[in-house]
Amino acid sequence: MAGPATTHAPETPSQTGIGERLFLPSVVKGLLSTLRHMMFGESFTVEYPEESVYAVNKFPNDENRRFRGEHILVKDDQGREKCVACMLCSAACPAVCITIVPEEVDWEDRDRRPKVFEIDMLRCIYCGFCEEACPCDAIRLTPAFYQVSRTREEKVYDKEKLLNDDPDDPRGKYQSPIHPGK
Amino acid sequence: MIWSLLVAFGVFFILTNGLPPALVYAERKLAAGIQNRVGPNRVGPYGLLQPIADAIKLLFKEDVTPRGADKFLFSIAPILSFVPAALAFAIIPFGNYAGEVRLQVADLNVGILFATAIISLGAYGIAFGGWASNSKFPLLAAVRSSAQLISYEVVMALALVAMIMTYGTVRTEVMVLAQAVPLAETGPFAYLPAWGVFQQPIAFVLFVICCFAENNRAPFDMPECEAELVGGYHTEYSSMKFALFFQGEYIAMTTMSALIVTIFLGGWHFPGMDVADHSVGMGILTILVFMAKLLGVLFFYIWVRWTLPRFRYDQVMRLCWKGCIPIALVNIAITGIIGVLYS
Amino acid sequence: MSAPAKTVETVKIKVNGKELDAPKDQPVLQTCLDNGIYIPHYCYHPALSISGNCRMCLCTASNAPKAVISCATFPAEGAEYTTESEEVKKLREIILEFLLINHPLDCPVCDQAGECDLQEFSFRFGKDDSRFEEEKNYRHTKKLGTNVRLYGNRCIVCTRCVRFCEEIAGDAELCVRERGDSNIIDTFPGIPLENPISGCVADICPVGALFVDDFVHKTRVFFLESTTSVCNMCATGCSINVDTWQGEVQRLRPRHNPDVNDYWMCDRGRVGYKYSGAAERLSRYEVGPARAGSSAGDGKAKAGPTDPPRSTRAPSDFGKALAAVSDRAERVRREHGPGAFAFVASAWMSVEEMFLFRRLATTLAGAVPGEAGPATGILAVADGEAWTPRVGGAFKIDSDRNPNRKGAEMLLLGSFISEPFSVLLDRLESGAIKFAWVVGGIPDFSPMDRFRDALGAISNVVVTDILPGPLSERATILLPAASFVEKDGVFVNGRGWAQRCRAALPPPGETRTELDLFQELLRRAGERERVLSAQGVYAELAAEVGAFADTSYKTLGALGARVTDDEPAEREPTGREAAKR
Ligand code: SF4
Ligand code: SF4
Ligand code: SF4
Ligand code: FES
Repeated sequence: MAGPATTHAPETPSQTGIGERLFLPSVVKGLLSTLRHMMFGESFTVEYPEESVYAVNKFPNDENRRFRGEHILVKDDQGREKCVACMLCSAACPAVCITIVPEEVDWEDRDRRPKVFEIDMLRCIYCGFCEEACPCDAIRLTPAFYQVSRTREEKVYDKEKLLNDDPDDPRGKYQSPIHPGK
Repeated sequence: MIWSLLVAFGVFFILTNGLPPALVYAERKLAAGIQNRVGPNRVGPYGLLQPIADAIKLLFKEDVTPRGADKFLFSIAPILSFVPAALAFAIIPFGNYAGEVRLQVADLNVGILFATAIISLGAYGIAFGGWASNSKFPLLAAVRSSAQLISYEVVMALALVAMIMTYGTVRTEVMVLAQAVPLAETGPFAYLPAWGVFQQPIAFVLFVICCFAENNRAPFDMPECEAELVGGYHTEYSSMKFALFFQGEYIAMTTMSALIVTIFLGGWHFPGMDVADHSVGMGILTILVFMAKLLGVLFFYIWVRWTLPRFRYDQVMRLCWKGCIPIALVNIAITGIIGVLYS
Repeated sequence: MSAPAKTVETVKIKVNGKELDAPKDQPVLQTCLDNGIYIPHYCYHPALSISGNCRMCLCTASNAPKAVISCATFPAEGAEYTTESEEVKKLREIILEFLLINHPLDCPVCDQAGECDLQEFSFRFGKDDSRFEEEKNYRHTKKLGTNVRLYGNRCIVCTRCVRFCEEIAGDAELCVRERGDSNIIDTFPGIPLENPISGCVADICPVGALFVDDFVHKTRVFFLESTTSVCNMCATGCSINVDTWQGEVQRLRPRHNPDVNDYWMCDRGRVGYKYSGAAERLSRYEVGPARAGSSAGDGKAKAGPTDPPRSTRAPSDFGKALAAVSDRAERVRREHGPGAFAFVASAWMSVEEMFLFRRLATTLAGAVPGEAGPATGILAVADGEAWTPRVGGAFKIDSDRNPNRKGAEMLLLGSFISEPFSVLLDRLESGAIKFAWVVGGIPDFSPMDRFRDALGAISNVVVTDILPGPLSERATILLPAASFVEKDGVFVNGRGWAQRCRAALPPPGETRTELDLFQELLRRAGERERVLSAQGVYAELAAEVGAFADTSYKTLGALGARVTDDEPAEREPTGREAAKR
């Protein structure tokens, strides 16, 4: 939503014309639309136990990337976390589930990184505010949604778990490229 | 004679009891198609056994009668909604003669009047069900439903009056025969049969609207809107009683479709057939034609349901009293004038 | 405040069409600020000389052909100044664009973010884009002294820090090096920034270029919650803000108070909160059996440092510990009379606590006419080095390292403590004392050996303290206490200025404040009906103690009030006033 405030089209006064009043033209239009879906529409359903959301991509532009599942911390080209521990994500988080403790590092390009970075996935409401707040594109929500664990502690993801870059992992594979579909 | 009766009742039975489960399946599959989903696909090939699974589930569910409910009315309501719908089917000619057998359960001389009278009884099922549940949402649904049915029966009757004037009869069998002629002697309309829909398009539209309303089908599903009334009149029903309601709705839908086919779509007639041919083969063919038309209308029912959103209640009423009834009255007048001019 | 009202010469000026009476010797900028007209500024600081190099405060004047900097413009009779116009807006945008040319986009890692003037003015007055496409230059990041570090890239060369070191601290360690866009703050070779108030440069730096090392990469300022309070590290009693987050003090910041500390505080006080968050803080009530068989002779024989006695105390709770205190006091009073008691207060207590402690002593020990009363005394830490800035207004570092010695003098001396400390020591060692109550609350306190050893031989020793140490080791009943960031109370500084200290955090663990503790004991002894807040206790105190009469928490306000008359009320000149002389 760049640019000035979006203007809304003035609301069309409802049921003015005779066509509107008869409903029928709109009804026919609607019927044709649903008919088109029925005849030519492809099913978007991922048949869960047989198919995996991570393996199947029913969308041409990788739109299922939009699903907001568990987070990753993104790595830069040197394999270090991009996060600079600015804590904006934890400030933005409405569920207060991000814990960050900054520490100093003597890297060429930045002098700060998180010593502790924990997200309590059980508290997270997957709103994606953290992703939006991040000035460094360091935290992202991936489509990973398997929320199974045997203990509560397992669902508190620490830095190591969040930095996952295993290409076979549902979260790790979203380390890169940034947006395949863009 | 006996076996011919058996055939008639067999077809009747299939239409009233075999069709609903198939319709449920079709409805779910079509809905899924419209919404770009898959629909039932787990039980049996393509999920074909799903209706059976549903039926078994419903049968084995606990039959709950709410505390404070009127037990008698509560039990009789589902039956009341089921039986009239099936009864009305008796006057539908679902085929021409198969040999000696008239393919119709009962050719009453009050014909269509019997159908309207019986169908109106269906309102009692919903009204009793809602009243007897001793629960506010079903009661609201019952009130809504009664008002809606009464209103739309007026339109329905007015639309039928126009048709009766056109055909000059109330007997369904005669109506079908009246449609089995070309629309005009010469000219471009000579290729069209004289089906009701071509003779009386306005009455057709009105009648279809009424059918939806009478069946409480979307967009007129006021009595059972999930959003406001948590399921409406059958909120408190479970198990077999709920199943009866459910089945009643689909049978009513089938009956209504059959009425539309009979009155407006030429019944078992198809262009080019020889009405006088009473052979068994032709009889079976007419049954198939009737079935095809029936399924077409049922498809339309489902299609509309998954396309249109529900009306608001005041819109339903306005459409009826300020929209349909004036149009129906004008339509009768026009029909009368044309009839006088031609005679 | 108590500063004598000087008649100030004023002239009439108009700002944005509003008539104002402007003091003649005060820049237009300050007059505007005082009258609620905000003009953005970086290099101007009310305590420093005027430099006029940032140009942020530009405004237009009716008597000048071009825009003028309001910080260096003195009002002319009848002149009209405009601070809100299209022209001024444009000028501000241009200035900010220039300032940001070499400023890195460091906000995510910069600890100033959230209280940074550059951020705020860019947001309020700046343009939303920059036309600068070349490489930004690089300037050094280094430690200027033990306490202060510089992020040169972020500096906008307003020279506040340089002027501070020269004019206020007086050592002039900082200078501006290089020319043009390579301008950089540095120390003179071989002279690190080591004055005792060096941390103040971080406070006055309008951007994130200078930091006190302690606060770097600690948290974000927008998480902090501030509580106005008083520094407890010396008798100056600087007004401060205690900034907390997640139940921990993150930093202390000086708060402007012209009668106490002006804008400053010392580096020692700045980290003076550390002990309050120490892991070893006492937080459990502990009760042990009375010590058996002690005599005066034993106490004297054990000269020199001794091993702390093995603790025989068992964990207890507030109620049980208090019950133990009153039971034992009761028994001692019945068996030995008031002369067997000793009460040792501390110069780190608030006046309310002293007031209650005084009363509690009388209640516990009772009084028998003709017999000697309880032994009394007060603990205090030794004096340190005093330091006076070149020009600091009211600010100086007191040699007295106790926050409330003045209060103790006013409340306890004479009325409660009538004998010198040596008498107390003698009585403690005599073996006649069977019940001693010592209030500590002093971090890193090492009492004199005689006192310590004497305590080790007394049968009942109640110690109220915050950290484990020689006092708590000798306690038979240990009552944890609240540190200054956890309690409400009034402290009277060395010059008789009473200020409120306010609780920023709850005390650790199950600890209750001394205020609660003393009052609860008094209540159990039937001396009190209810446990009051510090405010209520202060009201009682004000009614009873003459010097505090007519004061209340309300009249003390945020800046405090003078409660003694024994020092001249003359206000010392602050920064620019002195610089002008
Ligand atoms: S997705 Fe929302 S709730 Fe979850 S961590 Fe991010 S900001 Fe917090
Ligand atoms: S907002 Fe981004 S850079 Fe800042 S702490 Fe969160 S993940 Fe790290
Ligand atoms: S370091 Fe800060 S105070 Fe010093 S000149 Fe730079 S911006 Fe100004
Ligand atoms: S504040 Fe006036 S020039 Fe800097």
